[in-house]
Amino acid sequence: MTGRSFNWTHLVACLLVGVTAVLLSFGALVTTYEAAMAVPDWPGTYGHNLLLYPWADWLQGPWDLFLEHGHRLLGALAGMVTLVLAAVAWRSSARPMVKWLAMAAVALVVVQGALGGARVLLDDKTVAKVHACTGPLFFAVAVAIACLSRRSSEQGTRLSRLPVALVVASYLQLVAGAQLRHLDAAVSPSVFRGLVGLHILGAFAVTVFAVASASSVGIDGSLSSRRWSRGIVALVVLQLLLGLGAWVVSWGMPAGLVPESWLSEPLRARSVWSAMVVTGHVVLGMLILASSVVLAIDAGGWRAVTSASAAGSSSQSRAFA
Amino acid sequence: MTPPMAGDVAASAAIVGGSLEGDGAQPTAAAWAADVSQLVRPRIALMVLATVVAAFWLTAGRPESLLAFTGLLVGTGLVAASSSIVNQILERDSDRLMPRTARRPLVAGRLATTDAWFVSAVTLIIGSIMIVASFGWAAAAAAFATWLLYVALYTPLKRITPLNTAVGAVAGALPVAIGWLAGDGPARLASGDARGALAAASLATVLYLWQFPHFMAIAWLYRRQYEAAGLRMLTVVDPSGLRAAGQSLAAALAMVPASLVLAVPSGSIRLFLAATVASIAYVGASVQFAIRRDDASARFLLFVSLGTLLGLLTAAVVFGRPV
Repeated sequence: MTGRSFNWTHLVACLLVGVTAVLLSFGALVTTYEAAMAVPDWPGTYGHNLLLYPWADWLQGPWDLFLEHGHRLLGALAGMVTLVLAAVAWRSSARPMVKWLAMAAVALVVVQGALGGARVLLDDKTVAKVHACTGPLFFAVAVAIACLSRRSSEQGTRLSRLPVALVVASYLQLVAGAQLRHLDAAVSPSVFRGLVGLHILGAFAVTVFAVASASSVGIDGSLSSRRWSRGIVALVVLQLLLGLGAWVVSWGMPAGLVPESWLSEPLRARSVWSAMVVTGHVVLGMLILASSVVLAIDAGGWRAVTSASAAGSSSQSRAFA
Repeated sequence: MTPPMAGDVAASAAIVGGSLEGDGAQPTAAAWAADVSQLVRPRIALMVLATVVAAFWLTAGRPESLLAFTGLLVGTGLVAASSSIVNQILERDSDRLMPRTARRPLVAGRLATTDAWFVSAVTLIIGSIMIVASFGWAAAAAAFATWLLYVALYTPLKRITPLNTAVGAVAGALPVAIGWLAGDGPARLASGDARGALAAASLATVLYLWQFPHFMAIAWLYRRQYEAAGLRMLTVVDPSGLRAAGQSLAAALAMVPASLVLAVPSGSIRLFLAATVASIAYVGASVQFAIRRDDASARFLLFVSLGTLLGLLTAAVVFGRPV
């Protein structure tokens, strides 16, 4: 540390990223196993305070109770870590952008907690979708805070818009996926076809932007950016395979855009293997989003501009050219 | 009852589509119409009316009486016009110091302040009576509360603290309450139908958060004029723009789930997707402004903000009626 104070903001932000990753994985499992209503009350668990619910009952209880209550506990932990992060960031000499992103994280985690409660109390599919789309957004913000709070002497370089486009495409793809994950049984075949088409189009867009970003960064990016971009391409390839697998384990071989089985059997994992495929597809989508955020920050001028005090410097105007 | 969009939608129009200020050499009737237009700021009133219509529609659907609904809109428009007039009366000294506003009718002396006070009082009273007559006291009280918040709190706060935006944004979101109350929202909620209340709450939250990036973009573009006029905007207090950009980005991010909740009462997938695209576009423009903090990115953010609001309101009205 050689005379510099310890970077608590970065440490807590990294902790938040870790907790959120586990939280989102639990959330994905809750949806896969349709365990959201395993605990019918909220904010408590079967009449107990969330934090005081007997651990033995939780750990030795049914699988869906384990998932749902675990998801809630992790959510509470993520909320507390977020509050600590905001406090640490505002008390430290962190960059203004980090402080405001921490405030955004607080707002998002509060809203996300309320959405989780509303999802249970209202048992509403659309609330579940909003909950499923806010989680990755919060994760992306946490990752951004962790990246931006790093101490670095690196200066920004000319930034291609491609990594930013990749972030947007990754998020929109998660939203399209959430529509399929939380499918209402009453939805018409034409709407289903449209959603599947949208998800395939999103997969195409993410693939194109990932490859284009890797090509762009490969030419004049830093070593770290090149590694991240190649890693993202690898994740996207794996994700495409998992996507095909998720379709097969959920609806059978894709003979047509609307499988015969889907009307009677909505998306549901039927075995540990199929649950891993379906849940892995969701979690990998979030990892691609998070990695894209890292790449967009790493390859761009964020670090330079957030540390600059004066506006309109040449490096700033180049940063997003 | 003009939200902080007050300076802004008018400013937006000036920025995006050319100056609103007249040349001063027009025929009398046209000059008078231009002066009245500057005084009542019809674009802002239209924005307020669009909000009221959306909130009413999401709460109650088609109005039972078209005449009463027209009365609500005309009354609300008059109250909005009144707040614009009072705002210009109170800010005429600072308006004189800014090129953007230096040729407003009160500043330039084409209209007398006493006349403006008179017109503002008349429009406020007639507007309030029309709202009471068409949809009762509750909607009129919401309209008056918005007027009061804007005129008595937000306007003076602009000279005191950069927190004025957070206060003014409440006034910007309050017209939702007019539509909700006129649509019999409380009675529907009491009878167990919470969809209208949820839609209205979501719309109000969206409108509140939407104003931060929108207003910060304007505060950036006119920061030198605001500084010269002694208005304590965030871009004046922090000329680097970092705080304004940070606030914009935080609000745009928080607006994403609020926009998505708009789709909950109706369960509309189309509204859900439209809200996602609109709000993510807003986040993208805010990110670009945060990185560059120059006039081009502020102008782009302003442009996207108008498109986002228009898109969201349109999608909410077309797809979002609770079934």
